[in-house]
Amino acid sequence: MKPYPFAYHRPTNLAEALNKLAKLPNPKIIAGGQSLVPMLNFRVAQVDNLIDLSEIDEIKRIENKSQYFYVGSMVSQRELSDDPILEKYLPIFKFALSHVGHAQTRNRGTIGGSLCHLDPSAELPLLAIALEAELYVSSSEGSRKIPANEFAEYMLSPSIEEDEILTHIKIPIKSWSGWGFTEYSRRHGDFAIVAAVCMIKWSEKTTIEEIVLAAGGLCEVPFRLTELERQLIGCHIDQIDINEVVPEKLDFDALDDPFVPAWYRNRIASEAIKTVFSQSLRRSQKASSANG
Amino acid sequence: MDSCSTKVMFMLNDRKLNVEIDPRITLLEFIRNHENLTGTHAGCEHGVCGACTVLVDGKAVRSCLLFAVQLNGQNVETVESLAENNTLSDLQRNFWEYHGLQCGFCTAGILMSLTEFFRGRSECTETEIRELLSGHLCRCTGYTNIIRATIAHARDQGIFCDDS
Repeated sequence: MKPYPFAYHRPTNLAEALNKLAKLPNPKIIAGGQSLVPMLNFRVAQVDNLIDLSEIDEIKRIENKSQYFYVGSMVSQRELSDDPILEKYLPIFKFALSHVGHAQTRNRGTIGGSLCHLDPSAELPLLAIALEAELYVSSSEGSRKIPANEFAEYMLSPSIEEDEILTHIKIPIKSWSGWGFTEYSRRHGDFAIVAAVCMIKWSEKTTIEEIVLAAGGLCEVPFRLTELERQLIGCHIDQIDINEVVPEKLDFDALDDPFVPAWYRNRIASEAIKTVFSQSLRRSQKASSANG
Repeated sequence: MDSCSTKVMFMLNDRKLNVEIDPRITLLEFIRNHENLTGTHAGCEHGVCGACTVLVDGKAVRSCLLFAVQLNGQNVETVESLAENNTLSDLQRNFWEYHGLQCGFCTAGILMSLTEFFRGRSECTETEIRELLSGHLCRCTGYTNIIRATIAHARDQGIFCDDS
């Protein structure tokens, strides 16, 4: 199995990469290549000029600022997962990363590559949307910031111009009382049929002050379930029957294929959302009892 | 397409290579067909089966999902690097003794993943071993003997923590 012939470029700084991206015919960026190389091998994708970002040090940094995590686009999934303080500030991110492919693909796969590939069931775009990450892209004209929910425009199609490169993301660090993440797939490491995220902040330990509910794999791009979030905000813990709030059959315009029909994804999503909500409750209770 | 040939320098099993190759040649193809190191196996060639797993800078990766030209300055280790002078490594010996393979197609990849796993590790559990092996497909053994062999190796190293 071999891709079509292409020329290979290995720029050592961002300016050079941007210049090549703007000038060369039919270019494509390669980050970790864990999705792109299979597409090239199968000839689903065809490029004339492959631009490898792996030697650009300026987009490989991880920094923990007090308000947010700064993650360079060429940081590998493994490096971020191994970061000693990630678990303390963004435990949900650490947990979800263990669901991205397998250890052997996380060693190569990057944060930026997965976000830009934007597979509907990929974990990283889902997390970016749930955590309200900001994505920074550059072109030779300058840089701009894109909120994660606007970045994820259509299936496999981020809202990024042809001459732009994702350089880094900022993930806000917020003190959530509890969180939940689950993913349903046929085998561990497979693409998720549905993945779901929940994060809750309580006021007075009893009332939902803030909540994030998001689903991936269900539709073309991951998204927040804003309607459900609105219903739950302000609710007292004793009054919430999550089985009543979340209908057994959701009614989203879900992805539909011969193996996983839309109605099935909607059913699984309903269960997944209930699961992550319950996980968040349990984690909040644990945290509050630990705090006395 | 020779006009596209690209120079790349990297280490392969402690040998320094300075080659000029067509960029579309994957590391897998390079290892097997250019260097004749056929211990690394070509399975699915899209990153799912794990048969082609090798170490790059000490990390287990799929050699089918990498172009050889991407390896500039890096260090590649294949299954051929494990045995010394025809003496199996401890890990290989445990696979031999516990019959951790049948047809052997997936074995090279599994050995390389485990080589990374055991390097510098002070403890390991069966759950972690199973999690790691989930990145490899074996169609003969049902994994039972692979896990037995791996646990035996972990015990030999004195780092096994029973979590079953």
